[in-house]
Amino acid sequence: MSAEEAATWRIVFADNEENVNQVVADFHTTQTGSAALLYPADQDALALPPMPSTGFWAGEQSKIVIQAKGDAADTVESEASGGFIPIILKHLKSGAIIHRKLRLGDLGTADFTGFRSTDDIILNTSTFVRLGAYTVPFGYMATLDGGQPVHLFLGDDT
Amino acid sequence: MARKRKASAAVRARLKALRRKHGLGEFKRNSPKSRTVRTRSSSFKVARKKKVSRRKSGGFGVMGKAVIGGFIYGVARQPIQNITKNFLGGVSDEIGMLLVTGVIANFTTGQIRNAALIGMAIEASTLAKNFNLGGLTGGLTTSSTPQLTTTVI
Repeated sequence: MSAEEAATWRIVFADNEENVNQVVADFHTTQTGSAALLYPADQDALALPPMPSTGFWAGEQSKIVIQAKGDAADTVESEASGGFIPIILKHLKSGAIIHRKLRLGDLGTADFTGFRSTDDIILNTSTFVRLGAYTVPFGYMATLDGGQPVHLFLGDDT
Repeated sequence: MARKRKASAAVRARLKALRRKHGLGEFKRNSPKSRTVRTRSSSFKVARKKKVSRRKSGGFGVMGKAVIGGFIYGVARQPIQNITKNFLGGVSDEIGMLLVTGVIANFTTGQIRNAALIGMAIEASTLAKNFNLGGLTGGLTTSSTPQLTTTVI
């Protein structure tokens, strides 16, 4: 059984080279972590915080980056972490909207490169460390799906 | 020279009856008609009526030309905007198109000029709409929700 880590984590929109970075949402794992991890067995879905709205969009081939700063210096592992980040993909030519949930960790669609193949990331208590990034596909732009529940937990096997 | 034959009395009587019938009056031989010719004084000057030449109408009328011009502008707007975007950059929308259509209207004639003039009216109207001058009417207009500006990273 993995132990959950407490950390502040945030969503950043960045260009493809990650030179331009814009923070668009900020959470703590106590909001998005333990209670959600046990859902739906015996937890109330209302425990999950809603994703805030933002006026920023990530254009095609831009990146949605997850960063974390630990409450204690520790290592987090992708195989022991997980979560769903709700976003909207908008088709540039037609304007059609697609609702997606980006999956963190090793399981399922494993959308965040850098944190999906038993990757280990060392967190510290002073700076935000990049966990992984999702690249917006060609022909689309992406933004946060405001109002949808956010679920993310970070853990390691120790 | 041949001698003229004198008409007989019967012929003369018949001709007389015919003249009377048609109201031509009596035939008078050797009576020169006198005419009085009246001429205007040389000091009498009247403005001559100018010859007005009317141009044939195009067959569509003013309203038809406005509609056709609008169609032409609607079709041509996007390609022109795509070209001018490289030169005008961020101003390529309403103000830029206003400038471009103004230049086109200045240097062309006919239906193209018509389309450019209509384009200027359309761009000016869009520009004024964007200024959101509803407050000037003292609350007579309904308020609109503010637009969320989007920034693309």
